[in-house]
Amino acid sequence: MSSVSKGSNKAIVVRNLNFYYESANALKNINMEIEKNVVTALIGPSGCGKTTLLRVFNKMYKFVDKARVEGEVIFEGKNILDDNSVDDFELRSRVGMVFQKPNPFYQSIYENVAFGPRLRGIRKKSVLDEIVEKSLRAAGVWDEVKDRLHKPATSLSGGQQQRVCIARALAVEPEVILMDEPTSALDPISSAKIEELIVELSKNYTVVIVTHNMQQASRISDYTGFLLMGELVEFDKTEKIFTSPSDKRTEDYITGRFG
Amino acid sequence: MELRSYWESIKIRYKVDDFLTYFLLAVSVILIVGFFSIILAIIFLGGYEKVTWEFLTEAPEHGMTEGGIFPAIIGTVLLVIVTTIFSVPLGIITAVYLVEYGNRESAFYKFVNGSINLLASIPTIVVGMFGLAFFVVYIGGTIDKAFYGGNLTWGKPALIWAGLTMGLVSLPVVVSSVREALEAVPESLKEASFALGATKMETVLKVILPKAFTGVLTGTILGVSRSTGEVAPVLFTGAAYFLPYLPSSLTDQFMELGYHIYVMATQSVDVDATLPIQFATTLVLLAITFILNILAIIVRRRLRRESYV
Amino acid sequence: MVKLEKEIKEIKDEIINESSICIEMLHKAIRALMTFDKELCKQVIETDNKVDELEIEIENKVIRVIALYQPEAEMLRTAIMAVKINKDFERIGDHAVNIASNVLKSIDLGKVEIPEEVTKIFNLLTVMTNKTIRAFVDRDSNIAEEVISMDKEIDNYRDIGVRKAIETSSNMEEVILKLLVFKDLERVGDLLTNIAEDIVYIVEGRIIEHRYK
Repeated sequence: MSSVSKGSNKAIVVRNLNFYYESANALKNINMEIEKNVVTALIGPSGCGKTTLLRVFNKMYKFVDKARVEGEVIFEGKNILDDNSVDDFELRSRVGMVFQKPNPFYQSIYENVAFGPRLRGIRKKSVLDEIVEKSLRAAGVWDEVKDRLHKPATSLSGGQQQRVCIARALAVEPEVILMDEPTSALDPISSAKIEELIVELSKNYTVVIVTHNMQQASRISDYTGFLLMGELVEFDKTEKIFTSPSDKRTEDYITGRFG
Repeated sequence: MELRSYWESIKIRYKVDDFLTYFLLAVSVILIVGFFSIILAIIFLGGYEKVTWEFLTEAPEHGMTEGGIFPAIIGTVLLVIVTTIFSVPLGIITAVYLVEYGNRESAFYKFVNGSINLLASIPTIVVGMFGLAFFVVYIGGTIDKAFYGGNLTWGKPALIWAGLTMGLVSLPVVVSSVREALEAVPESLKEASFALGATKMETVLKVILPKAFTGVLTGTILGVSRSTGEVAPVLFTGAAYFLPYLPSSLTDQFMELGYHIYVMATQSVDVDATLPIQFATTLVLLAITFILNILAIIVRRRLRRESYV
Repeated sequence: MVKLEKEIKEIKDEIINESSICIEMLHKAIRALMTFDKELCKQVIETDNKVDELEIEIENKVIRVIALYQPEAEMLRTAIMAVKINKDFERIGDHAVNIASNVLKSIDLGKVEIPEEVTKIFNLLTVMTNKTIRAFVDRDSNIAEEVISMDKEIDNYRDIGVRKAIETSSNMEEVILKLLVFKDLERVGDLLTNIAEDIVYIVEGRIIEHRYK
């Protein structure tokens, strides 16, 4: 199924992943290799498990009762599903997340971006200042906020807020950035800017993005995975998926026959 | 013919509707605003003459027929401080437990939740009696036996016992308000915090409480406001009618506005002479209550506007 | 947006590349005709493979762009017309190959006098090609319209050339060779006209095909 070759340029390798919520098997035997410094999109109809899969990568499922996980997810040489070998705090320093609805804390822009570094013991103002600026620049929003860093983050527009949230995730210098439908709550112009940002970010970070918008996936991703009812039906280079998919179910979804 | 009467009936229906609306509106307004105004008017007219600067800053004289209510004001303030110190931190912690940490299925959770609700509905006089029996007599007495060789130091009505008892009354109010504020914090904020690697405690302290700050503050003010209004809790636990000195330690008794009004109205020697003073004291107490509630509203509005600019 | 624009530009660049290869082929073919150079003919025929590969590559790129980016308006017209223009340039290459093949076949004839009309037509074609590429790069529909009107001249020269060929040639083979050459050159002119019309469509969204028939 996978035409992706093996090698050490893989950021995340998923092997026989099964996810159970109560007794329901939400993710069935997922096998997948995510390459470094590219944009990988996960698409599929509602409830197919794409968000569930994304949240396995930073173990956010731990905050949900009755969630159980089996299999392996190898990141930086270790199986992150094994609580003994990987510390959650460490993991979330290497794998960041941006959510669907922009969710800045009710603090100043500066405080939002400095939150992560502060948690990690960085106290010196000059160091924090530098990190905050670097992150906001990388998120493409520095020029717009540099004169109002200490104003509340909630005073910004939706698109700006989302970029501040991206900066916040970048501030801890992760390897991987997970994005859960990052533009679905935004207007078309802000969405377009964020899409450009995502493509730009993929030069230095591995980006995995869940999107219900197929055209977005085809526009910005290098690899695409199609999920259906918990199964990874197809995973391949985006061009292949959208011009000549191997599986009929993929083709049906892409041509809009369902979902 | 048929068409015409049908048309007429629609007209009538609308007219009846309009009339009823105005009628109900009028009744509500008259009842609520009316009674409220009448009460306010009576109190105001009865006492405003007496409310002078001297009244507020001098001590009472001649069995409360003359002088001011300064000690009572001070006493009330001190009571409020002790009450707040006791009930607000405990209230916040309880609310945080109930919203963020507690397992809603567990017996312990149900016990805590139930207790708070129960506490809210116990008549304050009962709370007062409990305060007397438990804090004053039992705890105070035990302390006296243990540290003061039986000397009556803590085992009598005192500021601290009154504060604790009043604290029990305002605790449910604080818990309720803070709880509401905490529950209003969107889940997505907590998720963002977790995704950055924060622990639950860090999230509570650095993300949730700051966001719920308005609610916490409002809860505090409401709790405080309640404690200025109740009399029964301090009846046996620390309030006194007349003291020649201001309370200087936690073991002292104190004068209190609400209690003062009660005693003046029921046990004063010369009721007619004290009547204007009663009204005046009532007016002062009302004013304090109003100010506190308005403060709560202003704070809430101001902070809300700042976040949503 | 950026990705799409980049890829459309790449497609345009590849078409320009293809066009220059095909014109080079035509140039060589005419020279081969003038000089009856066997080597040159072989070169022309070999280059055709390269053009075929390029044609397929461009076509795949266009499909990719449409599938991934759903281009609209001018970019959509560019993408779709790129397929047609692509094909037309490839055919121009084929005609060059025809000329070269025919020369090879008639190599035993020895030196043949080539009518001046051939040269004239070829010069016109060169100008037309340059203008077409210019119009494509600059998105200039006026230049494209100029190309379309030049095609008439070619038809005139062709008519003259064909009469001369019949009157002055020494044998049948020579006549046939000259007729075929004129046919191929005339077709190249038509193809360039098609391409120019497609460019007008890209730039203005106006279809002017079949107007001059």
